[in-house]
Amino acid sequence: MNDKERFLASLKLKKVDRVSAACPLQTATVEMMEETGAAWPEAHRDPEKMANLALAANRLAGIESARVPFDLCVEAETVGSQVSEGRLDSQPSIRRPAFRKVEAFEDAVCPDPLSDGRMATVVEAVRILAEADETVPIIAGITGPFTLAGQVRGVETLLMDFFDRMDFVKSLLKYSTNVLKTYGKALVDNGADAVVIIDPSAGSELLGTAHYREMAFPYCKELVKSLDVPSILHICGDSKPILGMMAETGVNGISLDHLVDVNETREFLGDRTAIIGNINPADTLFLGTPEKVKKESLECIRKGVNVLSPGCGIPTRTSMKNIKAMVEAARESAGK
Amino acid sequence: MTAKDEILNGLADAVVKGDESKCIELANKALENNIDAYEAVINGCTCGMSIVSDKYEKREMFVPEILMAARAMNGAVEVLKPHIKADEIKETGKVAIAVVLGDIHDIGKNLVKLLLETAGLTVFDLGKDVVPEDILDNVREEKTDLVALSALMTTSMMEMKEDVKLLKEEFPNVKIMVGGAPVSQEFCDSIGADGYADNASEAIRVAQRLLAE
Repeated sequence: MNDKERFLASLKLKKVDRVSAACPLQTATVEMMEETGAAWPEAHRDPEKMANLALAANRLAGIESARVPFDLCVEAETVGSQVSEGRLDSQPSIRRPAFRKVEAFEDAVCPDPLSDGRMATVVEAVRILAEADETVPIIAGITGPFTLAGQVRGVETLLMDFFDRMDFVKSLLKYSTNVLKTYGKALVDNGADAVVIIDPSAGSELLGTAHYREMAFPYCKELVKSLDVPSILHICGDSKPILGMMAETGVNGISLDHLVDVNETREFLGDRTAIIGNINPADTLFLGTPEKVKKESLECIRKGVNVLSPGCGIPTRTSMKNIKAMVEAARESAGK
Repeated sequence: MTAKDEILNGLADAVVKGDESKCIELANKALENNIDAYEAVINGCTCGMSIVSDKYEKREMFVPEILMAARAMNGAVEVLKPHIKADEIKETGKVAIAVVLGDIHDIGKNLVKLLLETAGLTVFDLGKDVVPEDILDNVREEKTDLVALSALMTTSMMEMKEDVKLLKEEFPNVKIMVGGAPVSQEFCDSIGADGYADNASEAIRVAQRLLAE
């Protein structure tokens, strides 16, 4: 099986020759940037560089996928939020949400992902990757509808809006869902093999299950349903209380934070979704030795992850040696 | 129950419920009934916020409700503050809190700040995406006892290492605690910080422990 076949079969819970070592979360490291000359922050805005740096994870470290973009601000920025550009080793971040004032939302438009802002950059990078190598799966990351609503309104403001202006919250969530459906379709049309939805603000510690059910779940489900390729959902933190709903969105795979136990998740979910994860990105992948990475990787594989991957984005100062150790563990698991 | 207890309990209850107008109403009523403003803040508002903090720890309340409780409490505090006599305020520990450079996720930081204030500490909120110089300036000017740093991204946590290094170089006695999703005890130890907490309630205990050392 090639990397793409193995990854897609894993997400569909079909038979594979070994665990996949694709990575649905941020993969770029400073070492990769130095080797390729495609560095942050430029690579966030230049489709060629974005594609190069995404593919470097595969070419230089062996990760069995190419993942774009490298940050979580693409959609919020394209609809009008101000974003800082970040640095060589840190991601762009939201400076000024587009709809801090409720009235500003009256002028909101759904961007055209083929021509507007950084959505167009990522779509173009996907297209370049699709032409570059048809054996490496292209994973496109998009923001979850609830997280996007928080980014364009300000998260705390949005949470208080629950009590002050619920109609506005619902309109905002509908809007962000539409923006993401349009964007997701463009990514798929241009060659994304899978889409990963990242929804950190919908985390159970922040929202609790009742708010998750009302404010995040239905919109995420609608987004998942609109995607014509396999999808993955990643919610940071302890997602245990909401795992059932996460599966019910219809995603093929759930990407687990390292805080969540794979065995418990499997027991709870059975064969409803693939499980992706969940090496500790900071303590193990970034700060650990290759031996420690390998040991924890084998542990994840033994517990039955379908795709071996870190529990969150790869820290930019992670060494290539450590990433390679993770991939090696997956490769050595063949036939076991 | 005396009228005073009724007002103070009502105040605590209104904070827990996140009822801002009720909080303001009861704060005014407290003043009308000659209840000491400082006592109303401590035994009314702060008491309510402690209940909120417990409920958060037990996962009975979540961040949206906490934000409403904080808003309600602030409504009452605004009314009461001008009536607090300066000599009543006890000098407790001073804490500076910041989300490190490159990171703008400040809900956790705001939560910890709120609980630290509730615990009676003086808190300097340095904000998010904070450059190391601002933290150093605060410690220098305010003689801050404890610096609490937060990072929510695997891509920003390295800034903590830099902050800790600079702080310890210039102020060997200042205590530093760290927290945030990707941060762990192991990471805390590796960068030479003094304490780690994995949630907001734990952060208060760690802060109090470090200040007592």
